[in-house]
Amino acid sequence: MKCNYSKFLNKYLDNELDRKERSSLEEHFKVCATCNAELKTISLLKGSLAGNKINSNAESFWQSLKSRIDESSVVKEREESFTLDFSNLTRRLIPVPVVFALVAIILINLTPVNSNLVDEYIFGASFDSASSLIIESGTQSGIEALVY
Amino acid sequence: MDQDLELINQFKTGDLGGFEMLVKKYQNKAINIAYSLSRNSANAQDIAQEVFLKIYNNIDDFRFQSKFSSWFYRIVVNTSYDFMRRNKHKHISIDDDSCPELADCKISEDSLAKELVQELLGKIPFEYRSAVVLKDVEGLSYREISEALKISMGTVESRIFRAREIMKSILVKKGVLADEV
Repeated sequence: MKCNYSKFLNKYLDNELDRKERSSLEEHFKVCATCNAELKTISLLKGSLAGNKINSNAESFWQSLKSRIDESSVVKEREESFTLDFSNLTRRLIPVPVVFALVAIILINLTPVNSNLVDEYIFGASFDSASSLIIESGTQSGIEALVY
Repeated sequence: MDQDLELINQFKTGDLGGFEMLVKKYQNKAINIAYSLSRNSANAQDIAQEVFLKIYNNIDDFRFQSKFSSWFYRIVVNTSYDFMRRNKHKHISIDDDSCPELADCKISEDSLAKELVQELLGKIPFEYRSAVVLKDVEGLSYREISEALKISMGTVESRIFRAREIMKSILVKKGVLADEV
């Protein structure tokens, strides 16, 4: 059976009640077996959790942390220096007009319109003549022309 | 100014000694909270290392608007949660996750066997577990927990209450506690 005071037991044991609330509860505890049993249970849980700890070696923990920090700092520095060096290098060695010229050349070469038209024309023309040769292949001149 | 803030200032001006002292002051807290949350001692060490790496890398984010300890506890809880989520699909061995005989479950009137405590913690949802661990393992007040977890004091109280109710019901089921409680 639950007691009406039981809802205050957690706060009582967690030291979250003011002095007045505590003393009125303590008066109640003198006569309430249910609350006393519940108090014992919560104390058991609290005590067990409080003891749930492990030992660690402060110095070895710090040494291993420090080496991880050093490692991450070296990686960071390497990344930063690569970025900086690369941008400096490009700024120093490749002047702006050269970059523009390079970009223009690349763009012209990549533009598909003219080259494709030429390819299509050549391919279409040769395909026409080849097919006509195949049709004529029955004749000697047609075979010779096809082989050639 | 409190000692933590002095150490942080020292570290922010480039003195690693300040950071080292901070680590040595807080490392056991980080390890013990992580141990109760992850229930594995090797993982607890890894989590604690991750916590201090985060602090090292993000110390500029700490702007002295709250206590360092609140910030620290929040990082420990969040890092533990992330670690466990990341390793959810890996097999994580839980330290001593068993209580073979009823007689082994209690080591005294005031304390349960460590293996049973670990088992109980594993049955509590993470959000309740973090509140009760900060309360009982670290001894924080409800106000300190509410600041660390950024939740109201009422929520802290109800999470701790629920965590203990779950643990009690398991103990009753196991026969360690009488049904009346």
